Amino acid sequence: MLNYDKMEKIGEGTYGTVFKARNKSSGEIVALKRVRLDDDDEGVPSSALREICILRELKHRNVVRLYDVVHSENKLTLVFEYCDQDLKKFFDSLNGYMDAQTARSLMLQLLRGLSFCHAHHVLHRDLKPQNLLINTNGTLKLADFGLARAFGVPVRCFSAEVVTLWYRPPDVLFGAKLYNTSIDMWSAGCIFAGQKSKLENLIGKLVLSEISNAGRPLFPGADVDDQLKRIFKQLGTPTEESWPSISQLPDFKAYPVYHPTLTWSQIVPNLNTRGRDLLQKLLVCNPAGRIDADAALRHAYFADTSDV
Amino acid sequence: MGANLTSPLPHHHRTQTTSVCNHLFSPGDGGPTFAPQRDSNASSRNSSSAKESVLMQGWNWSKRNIQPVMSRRSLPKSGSSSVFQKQHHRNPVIVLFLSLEMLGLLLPVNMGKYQYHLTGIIIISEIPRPDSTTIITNYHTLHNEFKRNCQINNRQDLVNNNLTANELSIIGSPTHVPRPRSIRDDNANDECDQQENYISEKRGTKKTIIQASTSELLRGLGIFISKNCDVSDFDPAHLVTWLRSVDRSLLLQGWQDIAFINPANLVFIFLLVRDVLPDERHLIRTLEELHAWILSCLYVSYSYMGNEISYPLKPFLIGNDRNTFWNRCVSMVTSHSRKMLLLNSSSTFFTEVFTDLKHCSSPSSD
Repeated sequence: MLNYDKMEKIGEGTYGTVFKARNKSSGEIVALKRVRLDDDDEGVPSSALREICILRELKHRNVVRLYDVVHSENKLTLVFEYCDQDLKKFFDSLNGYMDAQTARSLMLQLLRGLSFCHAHHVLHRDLKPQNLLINTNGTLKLADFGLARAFGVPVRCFSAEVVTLWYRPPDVLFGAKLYNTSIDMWSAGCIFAGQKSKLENLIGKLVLSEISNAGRPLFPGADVDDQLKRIFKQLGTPTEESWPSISQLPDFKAYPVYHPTLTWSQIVPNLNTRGRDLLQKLLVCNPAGRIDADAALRHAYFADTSDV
Repeated sequence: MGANLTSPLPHHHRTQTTSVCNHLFSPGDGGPTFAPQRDSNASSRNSSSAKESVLMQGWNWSKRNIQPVMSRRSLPKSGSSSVFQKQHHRNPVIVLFLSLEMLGLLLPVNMGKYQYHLTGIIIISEIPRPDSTTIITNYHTLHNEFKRNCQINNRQDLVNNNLTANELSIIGSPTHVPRPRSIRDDNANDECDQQENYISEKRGTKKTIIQASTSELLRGLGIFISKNCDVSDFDPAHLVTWLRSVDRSLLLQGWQDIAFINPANLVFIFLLVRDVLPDERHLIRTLEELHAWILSCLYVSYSYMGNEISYPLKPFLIGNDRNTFWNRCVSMVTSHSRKMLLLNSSSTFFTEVFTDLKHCSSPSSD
């Protein structure tokens, strides 16, 4: 990597280490993701290859740009555009204050990035605040496509071992291998709700013990079983009526019938009515009922400027 | 002969459709075998409705076989109840064959309680067709009725979309209903060799059925390689051994529970081989070099198309020249990322490459 001056380590991705670096000739700051190619059985390089293939084809304002790929000395280096921080750190940097407009802008950008990916037949499959980068202009970018994959013509079923547990939709938690773009929409909903509860907590308006722990995600399950319980306790346990054929999912198991005890206005008190409506349309257990990215972008929440 | 599936998913009304889908391998079909069913469809078409195209037959037949689609059928018809109905004239429908493999001779597809093999692929297409990249935003297009109910509820914060019966019932999480199927030997594919079978004429365009089995496409790929390399002792049978042994070892080691080598993935491998091999044939002189070259193609294919998140490197390595291996892989992904995605997003492009591969295996190409 003679073209770049390595500056500092900025993190670990799904695979490999990420460094901040400066392009020697242009002076541009970039992020270098290093993948070691000499670890035999890790299976890591294959997801790197997939990320390269996919990101090369996704050029959008809200998707992190892959500039270059360099193979040298048993290493694969992916050169990305540099972003200052991820969404998680961004919350912390706000010192507890985020206005409704910023929140809406972030959600809008997340959905725009997702809509673009989905329109180009790509599932992200690992959306979480850590994988959403924000640059100094406040532009949000989808990053870490290590679990992403193309879907479409010859593709049938996929791995069910995708998406970080807290952001994994119920159908995938039940082992569904035949999912589609709805997998990302659930994660988007969790992030949306998560950012809100974080916000509320920091502002100090929260009265509920459940979400008074700073920055905790909406459904912080300990394992698959706990994850499903948390989801169903909030959303109600799905039935064959609300979700036909649910019991035929590979890892389906019956759960007690929970009825929601908290209203959405209790969970996300500062989110306006329209925002809550969008959230409720994203967090639908049955993937067939989950709103898609394009429809979400047309949602009235984004037309609402009354609280700006 | 195995059961079969069509893939006419409803799509967003603003976008073009592709006829492909995630539920192609849904074991929720338990219908009769393909050939008799097609015959019965043909007869019913003749007798009942001359308006229905072959494509619609495929659609209906999948409706019988796939539960979520069935339930959708019961919806009141509305102007846009079936996007597919409106657009099916323009895009190929891809049907994959599955069969229950009893003998365990081939690499199994593990779906639920049953093991299936993808044994064939069929594309019903219309020619000529303008090349178009198809785009889907989300299969879960909201139904009109549902959209009407989407008005924001200002009064009731307790509204929970999870508690109401889901009336839209558009193809959702696919059903996993394994049912026994008829047994079919993967290699006995004579009955589905009705390639490019002229079916009907509608609005001045011809419709074509192209179908092929895994073994047929493997043969085609082998023949293509033998014609486009300078390794005299290469036999197309070598290719079958190379590909199958990697697939088998990954299954045995637990890296995958579904065999990778199937018609759709062979089309992907062929795309790479077809485009890259002619330019690199001068670099490949021995059988071992060819083997290593093919396995790097295979590694890229697994990485991109495989069901699993990742795959180990070892089964794909021949010898110790990792540097060459990675150079080839990186060069392939950088030069072909566009086509790789296109193969997924455009059923037209997929059909083209598929047809090309199929032609390689036909005797006339010898």
